[in-house]
Amino acid sequence: MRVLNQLAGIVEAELKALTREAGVFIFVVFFPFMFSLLTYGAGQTLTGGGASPTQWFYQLIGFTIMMIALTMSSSSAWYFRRGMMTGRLEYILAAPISPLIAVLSSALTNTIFNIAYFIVVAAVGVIAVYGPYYLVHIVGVILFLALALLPVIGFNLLVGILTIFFREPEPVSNLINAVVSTVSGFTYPIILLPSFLQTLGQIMPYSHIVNGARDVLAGSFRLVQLSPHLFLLGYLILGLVAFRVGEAVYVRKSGVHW
Amino acid sequence: MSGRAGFIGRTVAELEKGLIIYARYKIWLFSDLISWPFWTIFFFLSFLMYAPSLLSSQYHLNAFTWSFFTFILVSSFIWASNFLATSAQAGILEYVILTGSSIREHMLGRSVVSFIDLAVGGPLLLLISAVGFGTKLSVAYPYLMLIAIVLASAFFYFFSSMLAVLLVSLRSPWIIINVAQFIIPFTSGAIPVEVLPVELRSIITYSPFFYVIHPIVASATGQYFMPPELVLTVGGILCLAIYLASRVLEDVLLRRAFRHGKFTLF
Amino acid sequence: MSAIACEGLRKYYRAKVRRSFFNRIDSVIRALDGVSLEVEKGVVFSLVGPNGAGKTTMVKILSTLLIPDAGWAQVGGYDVVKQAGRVRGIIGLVLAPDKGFYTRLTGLENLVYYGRLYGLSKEEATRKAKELLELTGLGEDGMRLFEEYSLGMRAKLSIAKALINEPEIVFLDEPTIGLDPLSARRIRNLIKDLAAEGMTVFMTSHNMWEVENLSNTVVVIKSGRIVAKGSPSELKERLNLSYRVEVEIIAEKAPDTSLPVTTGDRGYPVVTVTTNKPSEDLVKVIDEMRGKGYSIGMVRVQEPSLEEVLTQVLSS
Repeated sequence: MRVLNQLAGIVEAELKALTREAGVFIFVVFFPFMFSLLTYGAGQTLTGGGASPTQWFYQLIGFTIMMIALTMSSSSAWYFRRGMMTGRLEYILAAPISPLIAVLSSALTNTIFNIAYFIVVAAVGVIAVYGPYYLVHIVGVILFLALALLPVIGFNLLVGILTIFFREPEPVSNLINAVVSTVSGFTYPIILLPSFLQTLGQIMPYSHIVNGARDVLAGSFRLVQLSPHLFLLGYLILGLVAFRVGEAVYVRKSGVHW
Repeated sequence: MSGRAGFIGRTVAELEKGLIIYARYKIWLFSDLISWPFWTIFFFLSFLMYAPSLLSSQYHLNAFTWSFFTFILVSSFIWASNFLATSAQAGILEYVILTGSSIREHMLGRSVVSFIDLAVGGPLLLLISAVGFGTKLSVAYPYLMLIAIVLASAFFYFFSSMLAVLLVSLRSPWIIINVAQFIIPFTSGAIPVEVLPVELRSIITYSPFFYVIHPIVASATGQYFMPPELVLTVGGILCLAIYLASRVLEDVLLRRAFRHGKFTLF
Repeated sequence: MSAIACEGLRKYYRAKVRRSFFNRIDSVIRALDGVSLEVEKGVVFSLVGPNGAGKTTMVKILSTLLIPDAGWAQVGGYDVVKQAGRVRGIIGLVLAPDKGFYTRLTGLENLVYYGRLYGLSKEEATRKAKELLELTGLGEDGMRLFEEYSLGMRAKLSIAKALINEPEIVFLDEPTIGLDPLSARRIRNLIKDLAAEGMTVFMTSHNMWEVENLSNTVVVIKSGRIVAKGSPSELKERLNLSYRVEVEIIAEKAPDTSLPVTTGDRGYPVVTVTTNKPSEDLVKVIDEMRGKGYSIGMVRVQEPSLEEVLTQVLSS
């Protein structure tokens, strides 16, 4: 009960903080439309008008999930860095709350924020390409993302822990963002990649998330497609374990005990 | 010390500090070296999804290579915008201002890292394109290319100073920076103009960034959308304008900081 | 000419009070509410008061980092608003002792960096920085990265930074916070030496013992207003605080007297008097006890502390 209270308290505080930066939300909503329309326009010219709206939708959803991936995989890294810089991390470690709960609450807030973000973008895309009738699939995509984004929280924790070792989120998140964006099939099928990059893409959760979201929205999702997501929950476990190890290292280094 | 001697001393101090810190963050260079090839593949394939035939067109491969070069340039400089927020949070900015130094001078220490990124990442991208995708790289107007790169570097140095001021009080400036590094180049001439639909071509000329980004791609392909003299002159004027804008914004930020006791424009 | 002078300084902050998600109201925080003071050259001046009293706001205004809403202030004869550049050239500042440095630079590199921003050549800045590292007791630790520093080491480096431009006036916001007793003593001695050499030191502190021992003048501030001003002894006198006179009697039993008697540390009775005239009353007690044939042991006159002064001023 106490843990739930702590979790709810942090999520509420973080959501409040996020809503006070509404400009960021508008900015990230704008991005997938602009980028996908640009590539669509270029595609139309290069193919002599052969680019289809479903291809645009494919990239729209891809860019949106990519934004979610980039922000989610970096948020812990920045959370740690800010905490280390301001001394807040040591306070959290010394407080009667598990640091894991603090970080998970922050990740949960991100998940809620990102699902809301996805709904706004996807709704416009669905209406434009499939018609308003398909909006009913939005409910499905909320449920799907609530499950599918869980491994990303684990991945997020892994990246966050790297910040403790390298002490700078910028290079760590830049590197991971570049690799994740390239191998996850956000804007093109991963079959176009060399086989070792395809394998890397399959191992990470993002290609499964983006393909699943596209299928749910198009009404072609089958329950059997959930099976890889169950395996991918391993990332959550891996992230939690890595977090505990990193936490122990940080505590040893900073001399904080609890 | 004020005046020119003071300015030179402060500039050298900022550059030296930036280089020392960069040398101590080896992970930075390592990260850049690995991420550029991945971004290159990502952008190539994002367009290839629509037109796989691009792979057999040396003209397009060359054009797109230079368009990704502009992305690296913009990305390298724009990430420096995060620096001011970090400096303010660490309590460094207040002390720096007390010395009589300016925000632009202070930003130099971070921008030197941007220049190194560009110097390393740019040639690396060209190498990856040539080796990985078999691109026969060419530059139609080498002198114009040189002017265009210098102009774009100066422009984005001032722009990142301006953006840094705008983002200084944001909780998560990195989200905006992450998005802006894509939006700015690819809506402003990084994608070769001749590849865009006719309706879009004139629209993108309304972006001020077009006049510093387009010259790089156009100098490589030889396909200037407007006379090169006009594009580069407008680019030069915009560079001056952004310099002045960055000064004005810096003054506004400092005035507000002195008035309200915290670094924020909003 | 005074080193620092100000009159009618006022600074209000607007703050948003968020009562719930949709309900927020604007409120005004009166950080400074008409503060006037003068600080002579070469003295140690202390500004004390509870948290949120306006001490840091005062330091920020005098060091040009904040513009007052009303009133004026001069530092070294220069106006802090109109001649901020000149003021910055002659002052040193410690704000938050653990902040203000690059974590991946060493203490020495950080000092050299600031020295060069102040216009020193690299050689000059390095020489001065090494000198200051010795002076503050950091010594060889100056070669370590700032991120490895303890709070005390960071505080020492902050003081070194404040002195890198050889300022005429130095503002120290809680300079000895986090320092161990030996290091704190070293910094206190340094502050005394600086004042002896003619530097004006304007400091804030919550350590009243330190303030009492260092300061020529103390100002007590509460809710943005000055509530007491003077040297530590003047403040005690003005508040008419009582001294405690203790006279130990070498005897087995309590002496025959109407005065209060307690048992002292050595087990002898101690006649204890609380008075505003300690010298007179001490003589009276000794005379009375001698007159009754008692031998006198130890005699102690306890002065009221500045902490008592502050407590009385702030609670009144």
